[in-house]
Amino acid sequence: MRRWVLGTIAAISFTSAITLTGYLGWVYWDSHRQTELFHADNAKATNTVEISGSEEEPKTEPQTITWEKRPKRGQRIGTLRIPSIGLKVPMWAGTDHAQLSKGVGVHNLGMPGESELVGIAGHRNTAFRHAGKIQIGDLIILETDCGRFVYRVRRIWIADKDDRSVIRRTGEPVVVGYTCYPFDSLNSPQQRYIFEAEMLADQ
Amino acid sequence: MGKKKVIMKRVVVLMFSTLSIVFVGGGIYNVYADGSRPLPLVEDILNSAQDALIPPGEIRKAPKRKEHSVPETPETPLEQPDLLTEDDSAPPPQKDEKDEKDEKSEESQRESVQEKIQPGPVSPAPKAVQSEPVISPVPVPDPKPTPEKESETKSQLKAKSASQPKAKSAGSVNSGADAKEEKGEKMAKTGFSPLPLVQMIGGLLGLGGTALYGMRRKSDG
Repeated sequence: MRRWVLGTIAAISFTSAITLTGYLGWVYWDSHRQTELFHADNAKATNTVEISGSEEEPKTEPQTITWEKRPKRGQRIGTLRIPSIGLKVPMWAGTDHAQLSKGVGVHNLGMPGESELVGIAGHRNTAFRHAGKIQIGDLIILETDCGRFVYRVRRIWIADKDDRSVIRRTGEPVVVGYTCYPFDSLNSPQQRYIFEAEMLADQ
Repeated sequence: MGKKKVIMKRVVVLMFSTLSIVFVGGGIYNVYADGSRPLPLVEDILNSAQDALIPPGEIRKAPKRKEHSVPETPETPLEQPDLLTEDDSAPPPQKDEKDEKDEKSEESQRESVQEKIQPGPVSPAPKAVQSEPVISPVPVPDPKPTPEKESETKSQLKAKSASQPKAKSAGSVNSGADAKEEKGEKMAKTGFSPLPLVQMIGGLLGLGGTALYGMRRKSDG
């Protein structure tokens, strides 16, 4: 009887361990596949973005819009493009894993083009894998049904994961994107790598 | 000597199995408490359901009552701190008109209680508003002299700041909403940590190994 119990325990334990190992492998394979998909060659091909105007011109207020219909959680908002790192990913409303696994998630604050902060979250091993290469001055393009909005990165910093002063209503047309930091940490990351971009007046 | 060896072996097996169970338990805890796995958390599902229930328009409506409540409330020294705490602690977005009514009834209850507490012919709350600079001749010990002043200045400041953002944001966001939104949203979990899973795998292998060892030992004996 005791042997039977011990044998069952051993069998269940080994089966679970093998299953978990397989699951871990699948997660890594899937994230690798998604990374390849998000940072595809076609995104790299469109590395240059045509925008009118130049930095020398006097700054004017960017033209903002208001989304009449707020997208529901899980609904696609548009596409995020960061040409400098060859990124082209779909944007989804909500920041749960369901959305982050398919691209980047957008907080329920401002929507692209609005005069409000647009909070964008992305996984460090998929969409924002190369977020560390983003530099000040890089362009961030949000393509939606309501229009195409170009932002320029103006600030990059690292904050605590519980810092609630990052994603909040500011009334300013900015995009704040973030991902886990350190990028290659095996532990659960306690920090976030954040970049902030302001909307360009000349789209 | 042989008996001692058996006891030692049992102790080692027990320790090893306990350690394995702790490993597995720790891994499961980390996976669910930390949210480092790519599976949906129960709390996430609940949050999403809650978000779906509350339209953003309703969240903006809720703090409106504070704008009205600031000039209406009498400036009694005991009531002002209440007002302050109410403003400081941002109300949850679920608060609606029902809560508003409840709070009003609570306030009225508090007022009646304070009236009972105040000794003898001390002037009631509305009188104090009218004759603010008048100093009462009776030396009533004031339990909270500084919060009164602070609250007065704060209420004045809030009244000023309430009008400023209104003009800025076309009336959609008011002072209460600003106070609430200053806190901001929590940042999402954007990383997958394999450590808890590895920990679980190690624990399970240890548990299985211990069970196999126990089985073999039993058959040997």
